[in-house]
Amino acid sequence: MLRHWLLTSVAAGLCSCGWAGFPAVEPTQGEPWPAPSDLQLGDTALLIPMPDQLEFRVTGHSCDSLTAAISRYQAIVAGLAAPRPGRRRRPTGTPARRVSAELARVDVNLTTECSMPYPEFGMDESYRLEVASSGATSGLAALTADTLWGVLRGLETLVQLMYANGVGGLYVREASGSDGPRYSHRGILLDTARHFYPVTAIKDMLDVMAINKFNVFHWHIVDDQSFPFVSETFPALAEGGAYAEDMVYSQQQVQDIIEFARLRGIRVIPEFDTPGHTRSWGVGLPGFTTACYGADGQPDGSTGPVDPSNEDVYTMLSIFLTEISERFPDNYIHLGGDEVRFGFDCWLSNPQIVAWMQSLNITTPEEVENVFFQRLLDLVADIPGDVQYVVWQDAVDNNVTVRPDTIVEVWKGGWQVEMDKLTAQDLRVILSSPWYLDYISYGSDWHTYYDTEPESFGGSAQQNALVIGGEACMWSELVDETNLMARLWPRASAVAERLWSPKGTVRTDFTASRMEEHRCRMVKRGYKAQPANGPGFC
Amino acid sequence: MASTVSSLQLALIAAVCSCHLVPTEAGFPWVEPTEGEPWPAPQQADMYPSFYFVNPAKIRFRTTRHSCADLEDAIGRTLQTLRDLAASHGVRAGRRPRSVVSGSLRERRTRVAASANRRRSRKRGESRRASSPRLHHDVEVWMDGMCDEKMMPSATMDEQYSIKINVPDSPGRAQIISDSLWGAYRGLETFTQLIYFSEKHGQFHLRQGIIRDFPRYAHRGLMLDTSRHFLSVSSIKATLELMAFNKFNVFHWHLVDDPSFPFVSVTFPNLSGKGAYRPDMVYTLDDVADIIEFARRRGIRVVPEVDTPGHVRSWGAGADNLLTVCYNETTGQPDGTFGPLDPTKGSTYRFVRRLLEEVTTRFPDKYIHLGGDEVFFGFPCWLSNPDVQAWMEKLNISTAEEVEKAYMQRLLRLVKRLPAKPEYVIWQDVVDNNITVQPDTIVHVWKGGADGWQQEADKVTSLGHRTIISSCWYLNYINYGVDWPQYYECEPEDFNGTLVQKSLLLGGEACMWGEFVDDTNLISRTWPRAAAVAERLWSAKEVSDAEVARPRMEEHRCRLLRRGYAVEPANGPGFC
Repeated sequence: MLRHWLLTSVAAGLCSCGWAGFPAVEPTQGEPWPAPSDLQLGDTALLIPMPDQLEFRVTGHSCDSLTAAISRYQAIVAGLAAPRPGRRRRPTGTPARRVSAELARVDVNLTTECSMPYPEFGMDESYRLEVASSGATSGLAALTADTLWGVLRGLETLVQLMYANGVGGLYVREASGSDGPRYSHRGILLDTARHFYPVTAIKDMLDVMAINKFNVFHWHIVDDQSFPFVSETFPALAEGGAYAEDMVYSQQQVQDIIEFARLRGIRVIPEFDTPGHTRSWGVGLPGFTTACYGADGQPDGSTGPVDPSNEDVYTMLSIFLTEISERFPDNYIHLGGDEVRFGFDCWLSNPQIVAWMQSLNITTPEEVENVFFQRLLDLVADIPGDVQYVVWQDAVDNNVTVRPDTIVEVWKGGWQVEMDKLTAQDLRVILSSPWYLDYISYGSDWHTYYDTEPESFGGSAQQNALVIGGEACMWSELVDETNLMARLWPRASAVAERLWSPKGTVRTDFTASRMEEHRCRMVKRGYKAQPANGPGFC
Repeated sequence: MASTVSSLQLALIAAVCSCHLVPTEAGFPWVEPTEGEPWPAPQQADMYPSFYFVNPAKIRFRTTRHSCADLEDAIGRTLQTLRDLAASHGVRAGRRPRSVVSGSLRERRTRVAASANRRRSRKRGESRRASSPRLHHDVEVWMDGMCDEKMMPSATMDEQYSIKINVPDSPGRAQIISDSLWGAYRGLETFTQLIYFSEKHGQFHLRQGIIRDFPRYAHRGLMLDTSRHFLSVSSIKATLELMAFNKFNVFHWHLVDDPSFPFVSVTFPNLSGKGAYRPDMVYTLDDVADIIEFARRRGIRVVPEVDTPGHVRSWGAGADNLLTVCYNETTGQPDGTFGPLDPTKGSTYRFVRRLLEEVTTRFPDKYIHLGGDEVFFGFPCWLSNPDVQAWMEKLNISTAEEVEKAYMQRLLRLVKRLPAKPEYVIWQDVVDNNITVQPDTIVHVWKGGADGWQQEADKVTSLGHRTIISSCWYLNYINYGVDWPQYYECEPEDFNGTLVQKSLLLGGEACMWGEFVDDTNLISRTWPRAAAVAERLWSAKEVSDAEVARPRMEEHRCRLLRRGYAVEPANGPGFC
């Protein structure tokens, strides 16, 4: 009894020192982010007596991927308990929790076979979690999931239920229930063309994505500015188009990133954007892009979109995209297709293309775009294996005929109208318009990202069912390794909760307090997530 | 047509045979950097089209007139910068770069170092400079004045210097000439910036020519707010290093504010003991002395700000009866909150005097910043308090503005009598509220954003006050896009005023308030945006076109990055 009383007061962080500054928002303690769908959290906590020795026992199926995850989370738990000066008081408004037991063990029960699975669209990420402080299973945390992915999500939630009291004690909250995502596609786009990112920066991002239960890394790998992807079939692309010799992603590195992501339940969807945004391709492959002509009827030295009149282009793309489909295990490739209009003038300036248009009996650059994109989709359809694709909304806006199982990514303003239109055509959609995180502004802008409801476009239930998720986009005009982490986190966390937690999860003062804890959680785990809520400390 | 198709066919063949095409150019950054252009731009420079091939790691400095430990120390740091530069391009594998910054940045530098002989084929024409064949590695540092131990940088320090490299009257020589230690510091910095790695030659060049340089303004500051978020000593030192690279010379330390009190006072240890965010989120005596010394060795003054009577919420945690108790109007009882300092009590002024006495003793700079901003937030509290009401009646005053005035005048009187006899800076609010201050008061203009400060500058200088401008340099306000040109193009003399008025402009300060800034994003958010302010305050008034500066900014950003600091992109897509 006495012992419990002592534990209680320590957990509550009561001490005579009283006071510590005036943060704008007080953090919660042990509130997971994104909010679980159906997990009841009690007001009781369990002490974790020796965090660095906390036992994780595999009670169901196992595989290397599972044991690797358990090792990661063991290290994370040990890190949470590492002595660091903490708050001198319990955050205002945080209830004192009764500590009635010690956590003895974590049982991890994977109920089905697990052998080097690759995460895929629609994968089951749900799990059950029981952290009991009384009854027959008191002192036990039991995690059950049907897939490796559910185990990964559950382990992350479990460590987020843990909190340190600043005096060296680590606690885990009592919990009971289940959790699963609202949307299957919860992505981050990173643009590695406008600035180059070393592999370590990408891995750090993947780590923090896992903390936030994101499951898609949309790798906008090349663009006008540079071509850092080393192709086996066309090595000249990176040799000519990378910023520098060492600013490339080698075959080994790409594989390494895919594996690193896989172990965290994150899919890697590469984007090879054509026919626009391809300036860097033309450096290593002269003739791939259109030569623009000046008013004097001579090439003016600049290049435009892919040259659609050149048959070799399609041969090249067929070989190249076959390589991509083999090297990236995901079923999906992102084919881009955005902003081709910037190149319309160039297309129309080129006499060969004008002649080619005449031979096809077409007159507008929109039709040129359409012809190219149709052929692109046809050649992708001929690639061995089941290669599916995502395209930016522009392709569909321009009336390209896409496969019915195409996923369309909505990125422009007026997204509600677009979402309504696309889903009315029975196409699946991913929303990214409201989540362009490269656009910064002063203040707590995560509120805006959080408050965006993807299904607020007034569609039918059937249309809403075609919304498969969303992506936060980090375009890299003004971002590189120096500011990526701070700029992305915790702002992308707002998107993470919108995409994982149940519809109708609204932002309250409590959300801000949870965000405050979550931001500090990322900082304590070693990532430079910037302040979210104004003055404060971790 | 034929030729383009055949190129692609060639490539297709290449794909099959896995032989490589020779690339023609690399990537498409938006802005190509310059080579060997110093930042901020020197006042006078006559650079020749010639250069020396140099190995930065082999450069030696010889003090040919006076010297002292501080100068030798600065030379030592410069040598280290040059060795790091050499290592970063693999010229010589020196020791690992020293660093005051975090582990990840150290890793970055090591990684950069590992990328030896990175080949770049820039699209732009390479520099057409001609080489002088003889390697030149001896640099004379001629400092005419004496330098004593522990000289303190001051508001009147002499920062001018000259650099001569292979000039006609001393061919084959490289010299850094100054009258003072501070000039030598600035000259050494400029010298390092004349060295660049030539992609074309795969070697380092040292530019030749003559530079005569001096600052436009004496007060070139950066303000950090360590109250809203705590900033570690290493973050502050990294900032000081970057300030020195940009020839800033004042670190305005906004020490304490409403949210927390991290400054450990010997006189009143409870202030930080209870008002700091965390027991370890404080600046101890040693920390403060360490920071002052670190700044001194770079010719940077540290001006502490102790802001009263508003912005003092955190003081109340560790000092009883210091803050005004706010009363609920309907119940007539204290409502549990606190307002500005309580102006009615003699004890308040004794407390402030003792604290300022300590601060002015521990901070050797002649200046102290006394704050005085935004007191109006506390006006309702003052007026709600019966003691304040009674005191107002006694003084026969009726408005909160007059309360503020009474407090400030008493504060300024007591500051005048401090043993250190400091000069003081105040935020503009004090003058705006028609509080009579001594003519030698320095007024810090912060309101009005990019467009509204000019009237204030006119008013303040017409009252005869020396002035520091910050309004257009609030770097904490972020926006999407390339925003440094707006800081660059804010001209401090763009206000109606006589020459006499304009001569009262001491300079300016870039401000980084801490609402949304801490160790995670301080460096990347401050730099290189603050560099735009640095050039505005150092270089000639005519150096004012951001378009012209853009390629130099690109080089400078990469220079800071290569020195190991996480300085964010300045100009859009590109690479270093």
